[in-house]
This record gives sequence, structure tokens and C-alpha cells, in this order.
Amino acid sequence: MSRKKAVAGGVGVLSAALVAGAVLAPAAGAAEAKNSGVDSAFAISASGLLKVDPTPSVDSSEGFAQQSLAELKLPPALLDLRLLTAKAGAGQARAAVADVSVGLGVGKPLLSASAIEASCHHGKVSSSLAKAKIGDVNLAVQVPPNTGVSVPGLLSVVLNKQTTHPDGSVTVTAISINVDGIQKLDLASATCVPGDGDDGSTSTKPTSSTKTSSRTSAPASSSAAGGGGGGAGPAGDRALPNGKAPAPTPVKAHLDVTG
Amino acid sequence: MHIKSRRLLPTVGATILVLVTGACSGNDSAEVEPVAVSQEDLTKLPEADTFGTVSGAPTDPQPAGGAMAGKVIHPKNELVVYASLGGNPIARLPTVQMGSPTWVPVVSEKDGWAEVLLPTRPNASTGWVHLESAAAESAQDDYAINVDRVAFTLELLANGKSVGKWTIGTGKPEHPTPSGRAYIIASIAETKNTYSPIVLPLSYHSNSLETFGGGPGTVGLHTWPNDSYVGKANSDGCIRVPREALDRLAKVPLGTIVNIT
Repeated sequence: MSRKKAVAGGVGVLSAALVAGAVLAPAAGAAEAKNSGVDSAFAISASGLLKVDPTPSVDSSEGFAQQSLAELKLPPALLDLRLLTAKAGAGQARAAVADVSVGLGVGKPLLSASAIEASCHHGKVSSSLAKAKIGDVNLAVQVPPNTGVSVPGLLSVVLNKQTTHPDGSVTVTAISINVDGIQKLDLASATCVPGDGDDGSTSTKPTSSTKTSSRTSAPASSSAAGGGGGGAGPAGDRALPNGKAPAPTPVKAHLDVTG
Repeated sequence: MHIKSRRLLPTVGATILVLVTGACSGNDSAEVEPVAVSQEDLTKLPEADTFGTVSGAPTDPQPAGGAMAGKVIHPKNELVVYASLGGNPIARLPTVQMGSPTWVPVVSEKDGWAEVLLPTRPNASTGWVHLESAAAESAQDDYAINVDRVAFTLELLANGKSVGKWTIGTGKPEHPTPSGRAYIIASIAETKNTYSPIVLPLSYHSNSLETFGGGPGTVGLHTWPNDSYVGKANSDGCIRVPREALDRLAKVPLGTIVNIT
């Protein structure tokens, strides 16, 4: 009974938010479009009455990518997040966000945390929370995969949500909130391709032809000087046999430096 | 080993453990162990990469220390970075920077600890890592780079000797190339920007541009499609070099000091 009431209250609040125009980047359909065969990450995504496209969102389809956002704030007291960051590539992905306050318009914060992160790296998948709280429930720093948290009232909450996709890639989402099918909110999500090696040398992923051809354009010839052949890490992560630092292998990536 | 002896002789095993512990603490009296960092504390720490900002970090003890060759280290696992020997944790140093393996220059060492330059804001941030407990690869980097903003030159040194010198371009007056002891953090085969096939991002950031494009204002070393930059201060902070110089610089190890004066 109380549950129903709470849901109704939630809808009201979310609708109000919609009317107020507090919808970020209302581009259609991008939220779930995921390139297969690449590492990817985003700090926040919401769908339903409140829509936030994955922000910031990166994938490794054009090499290593990283983005950050100092602050994301949606009034009134809907969302307040700091230091949103996402990076993906070189066989790993990580998403993190700090100083989280998710109110969805309710008086006191529905969800608060000083830090939330999710990462994957060569099959190692993890997520962790710092000082996280949903309603009055304190959340553990680390929990087993797909740990449900029962929150009285309107929410279904899954911590350390892990999903294996048909292509074998694994997505870990630190906190996934579902309000009875009308509102979904994911915080800190990272997806890694299984057995992905160094992004610069991977050539077997089913990706677009432009990607394949540009990958081969990466100067592979210098990898011989990179030291550390057989290791799991990226090329050039070991000293040469004579103790000297290795010459680097250029890795496909994008970074806007100050031109 | 302890587990094995315990299994065979539980009582004796326990005694040995006590003795071993006692011996260790005796030996360690002169050394400083890192403070314990919980998973929750770790989660709150910023990552030391070009997008990161670290607060409470010491500054480079010798920002004008010159173009020096020296030791570089690569963390095999994420390393906790501390403010001082036995001090507070301030950051986590990831194993990868923009897809390249992380290599950081060591600027001083003490009692099993190393002070390394960090790729974060603010410029000239350093931090201490406990080498003794770290899984880190170390190597000798013979190279160093001098950038002279007044003379518009970049000089590559190997073991202290000049092996190449070129005329370059630097940041315009409103967005100057920052001075100090930076280093090369990654080797990027750029997939979107077309002005340079390879971009070598440095650990330093623009002091006048908080962000640039979609990036955090990272200063880079790269070439340019024409020679409009040669001997001029007209970039947004980056160091533009001739293609020939880029080809040479791209073979220099990550972690190499770029001393900008």
C-alpha cells in the first residue's frame, strides 16, 4: 500500500521535472546504442521520465578515449554530481563520479555518495562505493555481483550489476536504480571486451572497416623496440634487457591537446 | 610458508610467526611504512592522469632542475601515491595513460620510496610511491629534452649530449606554453585530429585554458601541417615541431623529461 503511494509520488515529481524542462540532451535512442567489440564507459545514464544520455560517454572504437565533466547539475535537486569521468581502451574501461546527490525532487537525497566507480580490466570486473547511502540504507563499499538492495517503497536497486552480452563483453554498473519500470538510473558503468589485449595491437574485433584499416596504419614497426613482448600489458611496459627504458609504441587514441 | 608450518605444527608455527614479526619491526624502525588505505579511501582518491587534479600534492623539488636523464618507473598494478613518506594518500597512479603504459620519472628516492612527477593538474605536482611494496618496473631513461621558449628551440639530449636541435613554435602570449619540468606521458596515434600523425602529450597543462576541445588543456608536442609556426609564439600552448623532430621524439621513452624554460 505504502509502496503504491510512494510510486505515485515519484511519478509526480518526475513529471514535474519534465514539465520544467530539466531533460538533458534529448537526442533519441543514443542511450542504448552500444558498439559491440569495443570497451566503453559512462558515468551516468538515465531513461524514463528523466532522461540523461550517457554522460560523459566514451568507447574505444577510435582508440583509447577519455572524457570528463566537472559538474552535472539538474535543478531542482534532481541530480548533483561532480568529477564525472569515463575512459575506455587498451583492454580496460573505467567510470567514476564524485559527490553524488540524486534527489529526483524528493526532499532529502534519495542517493548520496562521496564516490562511485566501476571498472574492468582484462576480465577483472569491479565496482566500489564510498560513503554511499540510499534513503536511510548505508551501502557497503564492495559487494558481490548483482547484489540487490531492498529499499522500502519505490525502488529496485542493484549494486555491482554485471551483465554478460552476446558478444562476450561484460558490463559492470556500480549502482543501477529502477523505479518500477518508469525510471532507470545507472551510475558508473564500464564495459570490457573479453580477453582484450592492448588496444593498439588488437586486430580481430568485429569492427567497422575504417577502424580495421586505421588500426593497421598505427606504426606497428616500432613495437619491436617496445620491450615486453609476451606480457599481458600494453607494448613497451618493460625495461629493455639492458635496463634501458623502451621506445614507446604509438597507441591509437584521441586527445585534444592545446594545438 | 607460514601456512604450511602451521598445518604441520600449529603451536610452533604460531611461535615462529611471532618471532618473525618481532624481527621485522626491529629492522623497520628506521624505515617508514605507507599508511593503510582502505578500499573506501581508494575509491575517493583521484586518478593521476591528464584529466585528473590532485590536491595536497607536493611540488617538484626542482622545477628548474633542467633536462635530466634518469630513472623511470612503470606501475604493473595501480599504485597509491602519497603526500610524503608515511603521509596521506593523495592519488592513484593507473597503469595506463591515454592507452600507453604509464611511465613516470623519479625525481628523488629515500628509504625505499620514490618521488615521481605526476601527469595531473596542478603543474609540477609530485607524489611519493612506496617502491618496496609496489609491483613496478624500473628502467634507465638516457634521454632528456630542452625547450627554450625565448630562442624557439627544442634540443634532444642523450646521456647529456645534444643529438638534435630544431626550431619550434610555442604558445601565443595569451596562452603561453607553461614553464617547468614536464615529461612525456603517452604516445598517441591520433585518430581524430589531423594536424599531426603522432601527438606526445606532456604532463603539464595550460595555465590559461582550463579545457581545450574536449580535453583538459594538456600541453602536447606535435608537428603542424605547414611551417606557419616556425620560430613563432602562435599556438594555444602546444609545442609545434618539424616532422623530422617528431619522428625522433616519438622514439624517446615515455617518462622523458621535457624541461621548458
